[in-house]
Amino acid sequence: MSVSSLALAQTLLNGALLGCLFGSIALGLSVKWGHLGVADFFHLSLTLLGAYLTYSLVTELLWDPFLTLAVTVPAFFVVGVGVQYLFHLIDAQPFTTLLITFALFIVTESVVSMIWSPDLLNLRPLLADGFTTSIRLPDPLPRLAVQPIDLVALVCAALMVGLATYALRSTRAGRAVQAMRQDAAIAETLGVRVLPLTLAVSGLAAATAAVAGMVVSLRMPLTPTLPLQWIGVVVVATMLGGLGRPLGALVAAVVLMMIQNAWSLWFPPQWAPAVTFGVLFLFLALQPLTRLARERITSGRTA
Amino acid sequence: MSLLRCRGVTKRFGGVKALSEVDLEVAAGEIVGLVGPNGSGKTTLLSTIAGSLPVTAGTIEFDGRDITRASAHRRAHAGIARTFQVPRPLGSFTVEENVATASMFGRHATGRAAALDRARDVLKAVGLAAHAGHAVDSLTLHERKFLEIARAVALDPALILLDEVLGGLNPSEAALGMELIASLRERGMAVIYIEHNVRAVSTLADRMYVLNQGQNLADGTPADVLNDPRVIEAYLGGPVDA
Repeated sequence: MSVSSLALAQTLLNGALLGCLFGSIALGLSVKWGHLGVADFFHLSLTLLGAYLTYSLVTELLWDPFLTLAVTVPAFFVVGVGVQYLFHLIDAQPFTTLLITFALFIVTESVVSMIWSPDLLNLRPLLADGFTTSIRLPDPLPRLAVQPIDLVALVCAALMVGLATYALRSTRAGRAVQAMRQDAAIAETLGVRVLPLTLAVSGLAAATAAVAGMVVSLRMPLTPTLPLQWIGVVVVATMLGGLGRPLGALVAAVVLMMIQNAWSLWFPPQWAPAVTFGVLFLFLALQPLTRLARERITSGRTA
Repeated sequence: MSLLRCRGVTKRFGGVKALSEVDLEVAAGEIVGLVGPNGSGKTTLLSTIAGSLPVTAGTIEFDGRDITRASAHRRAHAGIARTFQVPRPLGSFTVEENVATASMFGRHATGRAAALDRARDVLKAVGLAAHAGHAVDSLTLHERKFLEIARAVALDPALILLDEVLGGLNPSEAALGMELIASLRERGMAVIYIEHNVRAVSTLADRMYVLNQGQNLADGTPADVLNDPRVIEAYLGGPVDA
């Protein structure tokens, strides 16, 4: 393999692994947006909070980063349930939920700045070498390097997305969620307990932010404005992957980050985010055409 | 003993009183027709019984239990099923999956495989067996209306609320629909049946209730109700001279 092709392969691999992290964040957003109709910007803030809480528990109490999940996952589940219950109490319409979660998104950034300071906080220097030292892929694979932390992101994304996809497709609760997504009033008349189901889905989606936040704290320096850097990729991946489709969101995030990273090899990196939105623009522009083609094919079958 | 007993059911939408102290009773296995002019509150009453709309005042008892404040899913589990005037199938599910959803989460909740088996049985009974694996988009209007009935039947209810299931159907489709409704009674279900076609209701119903402007106007056997001068006036605006 030539040097340039090796560099390209390494860049694509790095992009794919970073995409796994963004896919983990997009998972919760995709589930809440697709199945509950809540475009939840607060989910990004929860991920940030998860990262900062992990940082504090590791640095202050010297906990193992993975052990922090025993605290953050249940806590975020409760927060997710609480926010969804609030929406239920005020009978919030989709636009209202958008405004509320966006307000929480802004407030959380300020609260994090006040509690942890706006300065960069970095967990990496405190981590064992085994976490941070790059390892080479074994022969006969190409001579590419990966960081163990990125493998953690890969495993977490695969586990969470795999479980969510299985649950939605193959379990009784998943069928209830799908029925509720299509028409909550009809689902209720068919015996689906809609309120407890929405609370559980919201809680579980929020709990995934705790896991993604833990990975973030291991992967990158923390600053309260991180969600603003993520929002483009996460929202676009959620939409490209299909709302409510965790696997789609993960694949979209991986592809987007591979494209962004490859772009940065040849073009100014500051233009890389434009690629993300360019892909979204193309997707939205072509969507009516693909829908038309699908309808023609479908009507051809039924004719 | 009555299976369903509504007492003084009132429903307000802001300043509009859609239902005003409506009383209604249904016995087990009985077909009750509910008729009235447009806007008389028939569908609103059905929605309050099914739990889709909360009542403003009054009480609803089902099978001896007060269900006035019970949610729609609790009423489905108690044995109340409903159809909608405009069919509302779950669009991304196939025909049999729509029906199986009712079996999976309804009164006698089952696993997915058993629910699909039951769905196929119910679809066979309503004449939709050939469409079991089809997308709901491929169904005609009368098939969609029958799918609504199939989904309700799959809940295994004691009371089924039918909202204009024959509306928009041609005479032969409507005849099939009437046979289907009669078969519900044979399955031991009580039926409240809203229909604009008073003649069709009177053919099937054991008793009829007439609503006018959200209030009880008349009730009794179809013959008594159809000859009641108040009913004639409500429908025709006054007595018809020979």
